[in-house]
Amino acid sequence: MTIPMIQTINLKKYFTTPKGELHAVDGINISINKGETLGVVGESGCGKSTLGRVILKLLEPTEGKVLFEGNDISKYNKKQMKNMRKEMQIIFQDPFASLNPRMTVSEIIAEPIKVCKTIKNNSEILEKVFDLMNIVGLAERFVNTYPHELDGGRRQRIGIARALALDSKFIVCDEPVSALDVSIQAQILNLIMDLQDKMGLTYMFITHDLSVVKHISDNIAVMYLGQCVELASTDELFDNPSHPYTKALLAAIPIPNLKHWKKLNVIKGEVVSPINPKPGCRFVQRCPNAMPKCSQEGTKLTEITPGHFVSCFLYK
Amino acid sequence: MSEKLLEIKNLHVMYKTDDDDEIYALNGVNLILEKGKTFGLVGETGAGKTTTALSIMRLLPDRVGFVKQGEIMLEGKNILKMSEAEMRLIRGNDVSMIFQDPMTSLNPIHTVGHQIGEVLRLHNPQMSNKDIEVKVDEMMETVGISTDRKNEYPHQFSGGMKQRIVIAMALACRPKLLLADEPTTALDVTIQAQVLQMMGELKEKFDTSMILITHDLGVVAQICDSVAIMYAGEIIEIGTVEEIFEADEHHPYTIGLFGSIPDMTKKTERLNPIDGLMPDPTALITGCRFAERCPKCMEICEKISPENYIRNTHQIKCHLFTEEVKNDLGNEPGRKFE
Repeated sequence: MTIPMIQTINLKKYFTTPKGELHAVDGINISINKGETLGVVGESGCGKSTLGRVILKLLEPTEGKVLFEGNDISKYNKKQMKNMRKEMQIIFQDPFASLNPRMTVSEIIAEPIKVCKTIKNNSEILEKVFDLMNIVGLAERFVNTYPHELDGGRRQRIGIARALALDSKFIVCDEPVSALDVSIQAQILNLIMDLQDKMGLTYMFITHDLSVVKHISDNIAVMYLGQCVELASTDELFDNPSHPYTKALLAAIPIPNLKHWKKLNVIKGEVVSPINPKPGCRFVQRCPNAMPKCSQEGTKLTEITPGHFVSCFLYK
Repeated sequence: MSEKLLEIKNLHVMYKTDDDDEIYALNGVNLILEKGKTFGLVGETGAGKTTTALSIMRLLPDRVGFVKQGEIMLEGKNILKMSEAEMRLIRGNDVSMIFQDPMTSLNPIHTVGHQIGEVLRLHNPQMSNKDIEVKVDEMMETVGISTDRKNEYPHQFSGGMKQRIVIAMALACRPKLLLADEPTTALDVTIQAQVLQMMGELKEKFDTSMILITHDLGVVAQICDSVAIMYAGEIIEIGTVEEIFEADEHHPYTIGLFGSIPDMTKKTERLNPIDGLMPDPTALITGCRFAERCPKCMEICEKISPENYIRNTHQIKCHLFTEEVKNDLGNEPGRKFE
């Protein structure tokens, strides 16, 4: 059996707040194979960005393991981690806040190279920068401009070039297109997919937009309040959504096609607080199929058909 | 023939910036809204959607935004000619607006009950405090928030509930026209579905017409009767929702816009986005504003701004459909867009 590129084992991240413990990521088990894309979907506050950051060790996990090509990096010290960072990068959501306004485009793209000293000669670095700009579709004339001079789509291209600068194998894309207009969003999605084909990259793609995640992912993990409630291949998840939350999520998306017009199926209530959650299923207050035992014991991800995991008592 | 509630004729709006750049935000917008209908205004950032709404409210920023030309007729009266005092009677009473971000459109230092009551107090000075309280309770129930929470402050509510409060404020005086500027963009999908459903029900209940500004074509398909697609300060295509989503002929930009959204109903390998970016709004363009990015651009497009090609209620602002070009191209396949 091949070793997955990324695997998490019972990964947890709790934050201490004045009101109690906030369970941002609570026992996540996922794996991503080389060259594949795992889409992580969920609503705001479900812990999807925290999960991305814990996997990259930008946040220390509270419990559990992160395996990168089979090696447990959660125990790595700073020095070992610095070496690992060359292998894993992140593209951030907001192309306006994630670029230093006082650095030019070439300085931003070259920064990871200088930090990790992968290339030492200055003219070679510049060559690499032009190379990267070419790959992500930025004209060379922008090399000495500052981020504020560019529009959102071009800024996001800078963010992508920076993530590629170290020839990393694994990239966490944290809502890379949600701040962009649809026509620009489509350009960036195409770019991200082309890069995967060309360079064999592995992605973890975090988003709240189900149509985007369907388009780009091989597998999808649906998160609700820090837990993964359903994990399946993209086709299986959309053909056969099983967890009541996944069903509700799919039923709530308005589709831009009159032939598929449906009355939106609305679930009641809102996401409850992730601070000191009660035992039992976290979706129980909003679930149309809730049973008495749902609020008593927690559920575990169970395989209902090969490769399709659901965490719900309906399938036990 | 149903009644016209709002008619915008040839509206031009310009912004002047500090360094004397002139930004042409709206360049001849025409639209008609009939009573009781929901009208969708679709377009990308900078297309002029919000400027259109602010012009209707007469809330363009002082000394920066100017209406250069055109008329906005509300029930036959030109609101651009009204005095500020007359306008104040209309705002919140006949026409009200919901803004995109519910977090910033509520006042953090007043209770939500007070804020819903404010609009009632302003427009009904004769109403007693007791009557206002009754009305506030009624509005809160209509939008599905328990009246026990009347004395709480905005920060104690979630995003979806804040947007419900904003909707309660906007509908408190039963306006004839509601301008909703991206009302659900800041909300999660399951909450968005709740709010959209509620807005549809309230529109029926209060017999309000609505202009819904959005960039989400899914939301448009869900609740609008007619749609205008905006690009660089112009309406480039307008029609009923069936015409925009199902007719054979479309403006190339509309096709690009639909090609940019991943389709949930089928599997596509690649998206077909539009190349390039929206033109610089400070530049005066003589030809078609979309020419630079248009895959079907012809010689004439760069020189002359196209007329509207009209078929029933469907209008497309594109040279591909004007008669003389049609004759040139004959029946050549590819003339019609799929």
